[in-house]
Amino acid sequence: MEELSRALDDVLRREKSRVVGGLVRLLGSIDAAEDAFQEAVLAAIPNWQARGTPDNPAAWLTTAAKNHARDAARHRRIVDAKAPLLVESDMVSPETIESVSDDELRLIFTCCHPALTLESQVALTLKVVAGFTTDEIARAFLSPEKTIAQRIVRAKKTIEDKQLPYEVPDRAELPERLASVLAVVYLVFNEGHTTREGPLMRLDLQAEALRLARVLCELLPSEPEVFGLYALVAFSFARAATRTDERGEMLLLSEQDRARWDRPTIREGLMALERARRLGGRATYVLQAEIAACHATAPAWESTDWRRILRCYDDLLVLAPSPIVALNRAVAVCMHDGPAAALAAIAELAEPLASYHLFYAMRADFRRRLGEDARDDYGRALDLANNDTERNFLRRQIDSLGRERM
Amino acid sequence: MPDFMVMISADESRDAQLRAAEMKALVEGDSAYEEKLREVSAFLDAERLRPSAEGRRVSVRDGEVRVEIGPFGEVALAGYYLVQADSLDAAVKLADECPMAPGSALDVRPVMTGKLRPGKSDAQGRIFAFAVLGSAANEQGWIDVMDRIDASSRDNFPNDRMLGGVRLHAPSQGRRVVASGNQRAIFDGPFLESKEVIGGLFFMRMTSIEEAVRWASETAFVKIGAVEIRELWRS
Repeated sequence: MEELSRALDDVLRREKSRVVGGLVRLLGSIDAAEDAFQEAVLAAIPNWQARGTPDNPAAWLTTAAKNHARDAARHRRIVDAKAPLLVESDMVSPETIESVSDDELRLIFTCCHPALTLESQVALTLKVVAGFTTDEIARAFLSPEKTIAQRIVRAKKTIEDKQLPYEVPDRAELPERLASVLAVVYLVFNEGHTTREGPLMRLDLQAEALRLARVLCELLPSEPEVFGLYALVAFSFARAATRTDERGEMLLLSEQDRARWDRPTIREGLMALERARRLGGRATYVLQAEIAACHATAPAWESTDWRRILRCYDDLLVLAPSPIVALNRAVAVCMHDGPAAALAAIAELAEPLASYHLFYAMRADFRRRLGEDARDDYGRALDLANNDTERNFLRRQIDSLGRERM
Repeated sequence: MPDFMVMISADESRDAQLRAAEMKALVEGDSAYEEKLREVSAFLDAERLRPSAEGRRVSVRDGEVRVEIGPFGEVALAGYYLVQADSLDAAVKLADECPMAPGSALDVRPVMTGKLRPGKSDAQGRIFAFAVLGSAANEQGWIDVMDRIDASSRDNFPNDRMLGGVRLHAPSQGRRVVASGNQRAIFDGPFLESKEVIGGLFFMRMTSIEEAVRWASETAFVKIGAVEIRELWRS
């Protein structure tokens, strides 16, 4: 029984989006597809227990879900346009790989449709594509379960009301729609990387972002930005275990134990990045992945290839000018050209980043390196930071400053 | 027990076609393979090289230093495993289990002299692999070239930067494992049909590839043969 539930869990995680993707196409709505899928899972338990897990669990679940939907339709004597399709399908479902992949891709594009709010896109993607429960999503985002449930219901309603097409966008639309999908995966990853409150990171979200990125690479094998995102997430995931010490306190990149980085995952990232380069990509995700690769492959903080990192930041600032990117670039400036140059580089960011805690934390660090008393900046950073782990880190910096001066 | 170098030559353009799932499988396969080599106490060292497009080949012809920027051909040295085994056959047997992508090949070559420092990745700074290449019409000619390089470069290495190196026996003493589809085939050496054959590999710490090229262009390696310089991936 335990073995069965593990097999079932595996299938649900891995195959749910494919199966549900196909069912949405047949049944015309995400709700109907999820209901039918749920029924199929219930039917699977006694059947698989008696006869063992089938060779192709996804096909089995699809067929069972279709049968359930057909029976339900008959029962309600509803004759709608979808009915003939349902009746035609029998127990054998010879889906080609292409049609299955297309279904999954359609589902992802629909869940990440720009007509939905970004928050809804993320919640819906985690629920429908990633197979998270509402409760799991609520815990991951530290929101009440009710809020998440409502968000998902509203999103599904928007899809129906606006009759958002269930399709993979065509060539002309693809770049913009893909940007929206990547933004959702990036947000899932980012939320896993530094949650807004509470502990520093949530590995399940990061693992899911990595999985989603991999799936997208399979489905869209010629898009460099998809591989860039995959690489970026892989590099970060590889370092996740070393971002906090044994007491859960945050460690800076310069303090992390590089020997404990997950080398195979870094290599995965390097392969993905190489693929992105060969596809001719040097847009925002690829550039961020290039920077992360410099860190992931550097033997030590001091011997990081800062010149290369600076070049990437320069390109990134041209493509997507942002004060946050400019702030991160200043770290590389500090390492390459010294803290005085870094302070000069962030001087004009004081206004746009006036309420961003990391601006003060970084300015404090640069000033400290120049031998200045930076307690006021650390104090401002502390006032603005939400994440407990980050706050503890800032407190430790202030404490050590006090000691330095004594 | 003798040492053997298992050099992985990869078709980089085919590597770039790998699907995400294949990348993951290959990486996991490599980790499992290294683990296995360690279990049977065969593992000595392994490294991966950055893409050949970032590499340089340096040689001196007619008194002039020539620096070529990669890629240098369809296949490129992608990395290696250094193993110890009782015999060439035993080393080939180990190599036969090494995961490789389609289009790749493995050259198993016995080590003649030298040692590689394991854990190079712990060293500070950037680390570059220098592959010593020789070309000749026949194997004896190639051995002569390598002997001359060896004799004139003994005292060349700046000790504070050197991270070890090995000289390899002639290609005829090795084997090549080639993957095609799901099948693998093992061929005897020599493989002198390719114009430049690796005779040794060493590692040095350098601040940049330009510095590595400058250093190499003063050495006997490039005056008699040629050197391919490639940065390590450090992963």
